[in-house]
Amino acid sequence: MPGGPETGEPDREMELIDAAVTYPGAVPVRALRPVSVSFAAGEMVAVVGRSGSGKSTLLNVLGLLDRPTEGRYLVRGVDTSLLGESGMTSLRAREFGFVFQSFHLLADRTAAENTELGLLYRAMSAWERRAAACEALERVGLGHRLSALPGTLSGGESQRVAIARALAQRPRVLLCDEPTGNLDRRNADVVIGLLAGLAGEGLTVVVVTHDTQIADAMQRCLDIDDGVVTERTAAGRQVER
Amino acid sequence: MSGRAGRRRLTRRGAFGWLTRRRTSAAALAQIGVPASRLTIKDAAREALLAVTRAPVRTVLTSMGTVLAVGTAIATIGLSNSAAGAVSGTFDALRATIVTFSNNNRYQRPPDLTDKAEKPLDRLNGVVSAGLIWNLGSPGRLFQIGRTVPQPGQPQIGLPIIAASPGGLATIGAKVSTGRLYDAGMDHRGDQVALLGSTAARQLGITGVGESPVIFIGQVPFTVIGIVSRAPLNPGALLGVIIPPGSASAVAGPFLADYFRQITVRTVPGAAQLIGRQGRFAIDPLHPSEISASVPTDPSRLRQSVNASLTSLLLAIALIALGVGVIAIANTTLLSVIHRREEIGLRRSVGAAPRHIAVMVVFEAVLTGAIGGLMGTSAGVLVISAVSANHGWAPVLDPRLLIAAPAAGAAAGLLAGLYPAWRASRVSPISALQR
Repeated sequence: MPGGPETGEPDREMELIDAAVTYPGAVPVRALRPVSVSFAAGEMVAVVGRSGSGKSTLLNVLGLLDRPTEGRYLVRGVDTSLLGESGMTSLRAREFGFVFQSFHLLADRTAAENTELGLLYRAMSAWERRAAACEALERVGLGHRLSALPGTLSGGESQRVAIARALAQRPRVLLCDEPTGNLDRRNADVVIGLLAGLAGEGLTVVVVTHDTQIADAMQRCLDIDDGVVTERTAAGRQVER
Repeated sequence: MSGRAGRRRLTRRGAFGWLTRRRTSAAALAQIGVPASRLTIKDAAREALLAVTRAPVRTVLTSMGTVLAVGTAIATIGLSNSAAGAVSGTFDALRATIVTFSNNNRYQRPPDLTDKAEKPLDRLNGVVSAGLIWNLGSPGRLFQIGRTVPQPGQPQIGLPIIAASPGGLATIGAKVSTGRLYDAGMDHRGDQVALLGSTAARQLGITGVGESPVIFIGQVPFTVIGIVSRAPLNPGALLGVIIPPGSASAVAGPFLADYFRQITVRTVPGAAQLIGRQGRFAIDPLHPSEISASVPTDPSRLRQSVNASLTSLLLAIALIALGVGVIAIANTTLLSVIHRREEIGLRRSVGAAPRHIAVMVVFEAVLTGAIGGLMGTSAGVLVISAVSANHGWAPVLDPRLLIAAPAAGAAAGLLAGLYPAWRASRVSPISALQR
C-alpha cells in the first residue's frame, strides 16, 4: 500500500535501520552515527558511554521523543517516519515508559496522583486510573505510600514511584536514563532488581548507565563513543552496529 | 506548467498534507492496536482545579492583576452610582421640586394669586405644600428698617422684605429658633407682625422676642414675633424681614404690594413638570393663560445626562483596568509556563498531545481569572460599602454587575491564557526533561 505502514519482523519490538541524528547549526553536530540495531521483547539492554557520547540521543530516538534525521526507526514494524506529532505522542504513551535520573515527580501531587499522570490522556475514569496507580505502586512495594507527597519520599522511594508511573501505563518497553544515578548502592540494587523482575515478565528494558556493575547484569550491552554504537559479544569482542 | 499553476498545486498539497499524514498515521497505529491519546473536558477541568488549588500562592499572585482590575472597575462604577444617587437626591430635595406661579401680564388685572389658590393647589396629587411668597418691590430692592421711627441721625439698615402666607412659610421650610410663626388669622386681620431672618436679626441687634421687640419699616411699626433660623428652600429669607401678605400694602402700597405676587409650590420628586402644567388651571380655571409657571429642569433628564457621562467615563476606566488585568495574567501565566517546563515536558512524554497542554493552560488561566474576578468583586463591594458609609450615601450597585464581574475575570483569563497556551504547547519534552 503506497504511503501505508511498513511492517518489519514481528518479534522485534524496536528496530533502528541506518538511523542517525545530526543537529543542524553553523557547525552541524553528528550526535548519532548511522546505526542498525534491534531489540526483542523481554530483553534487558544496557547502553554505556561517557557523557556527551550520544547515549541520551539514542534513548530519545528509541522513546519517540526525537526523530532520526537519517535512516528509519520501526516500532513493532511501524515506520515512525509515517507518524505525525499526535501519532508519535499516542505511540509513545502506549509503547514506552520512561524512568529518569531525576525522577521528575510533580511536587504538589501525591504518589498515587503522580503514578496515574499518564493515564489521564487515555480517557479512563478516575476510579480506573486510581486502581491502576494503586496496582503499580503495589508492584514496586509502595502500596502503603499512596498519599505521600514527593517531598516526604526518600530517593529510592521516589525512583520507585517513577517506575510505578511508567508501569501504570502498561508499556511494552521501559526506557531508563541513569535510573540509579541519584541513589546509594542499596537503593540502586533494589531498583535494578525491580527492573530485572519486569524484564522477566516480558517487558523490554533499556537502561542508559555509567555503572559497569549494572551494565554487566544486563543481557546485552551497547557501547557508545562519539555517536558510534558498538555491541559487546559474549566473547567480549566489540561489534560495530 | 506555469509558475502560478505550480504554486497553486503546491499550496493545495500543503493544505491537505496534514490530513493525509494524519490518516496514514492513524492507519499505521490501528494496525498495531494503538488508539489516539485523549483528554476529556472533565479531566482537563479537574487538572486545572488541582493545579490552581494545590499552589494557592501562585494562584493568588497570578490572579492579582484581575483582582485589581475587577476591583477597580466594581469600585469605580459602584462609587460613581452611589455618588450620583446622592447628588440627584440632593438636587431633587432642594431644587427640582419647586414650581413658581406668577402673573403673566403685569399690566392687566392681577390674576387670583391669593391664599385662596393654595387650597386647590394642595389638592393636586404630587403637591407637598403651596403658599404665597414673593419679594416686595423689584429684585434687589432694600427697605430702610430701624428699631425706632426714622429720624434724622438715627441709623437705618437696608433689608429686603418678603411677603409670605403661612402656607408660603411651610413651603420654604421656615423654622424659628425663637418665638413663633404667624398664622392665617394674623394674616387676614392685617396684623403688623414680622419674622426676622437670623442674619437680619443680628444686624438689628435683636436676639430674642421675649419683650416683643418692634421694628419700623419706614414709618410703619411691626412687632417681631420670631427669628427664622432655617429656610432651606429660600435661604435668602434669612437675610431680610418676612411679613404676612395682609400687611404688605401697609409697607409698599396696594399696587406694588401685589405687583410681584407669586405662589410657590413644593412637589414630590418627579412631579414638578406635571404640577407646572396643572397648577395654572387649579389657580384660575377661567384664565389659565394669564398665569405663567416656572418649572425647573427635569431632574430625570439631568440625571440621565450626568449618568451617561459618568458611565462612559467609568466604562473606559474599567476597560483599561481589565486590559491591564489581561496583560498581568498573560505575563504571570507565561512566567508560570516557563517555570513549569519540566512538568509540561513530563506530561508530553507520558502521552499529552500539544493540544492537551494548551487546553490545560487555558483552563487554568480561565479558572485563575474567575477566582481573581470573584476576589476583585468582593474587594470592590467592600470599598463601596466603606466609602458610602463614610459619606452617608446609600450604596448603589447593579446586582447584574456582581455576576458579570467574575465572568469578565474568566473572559480576561481566557484571553490572557491563549498566548501562554500556545507557547506551552510548543515546549519540547527533550529540552524540558534534560534539566
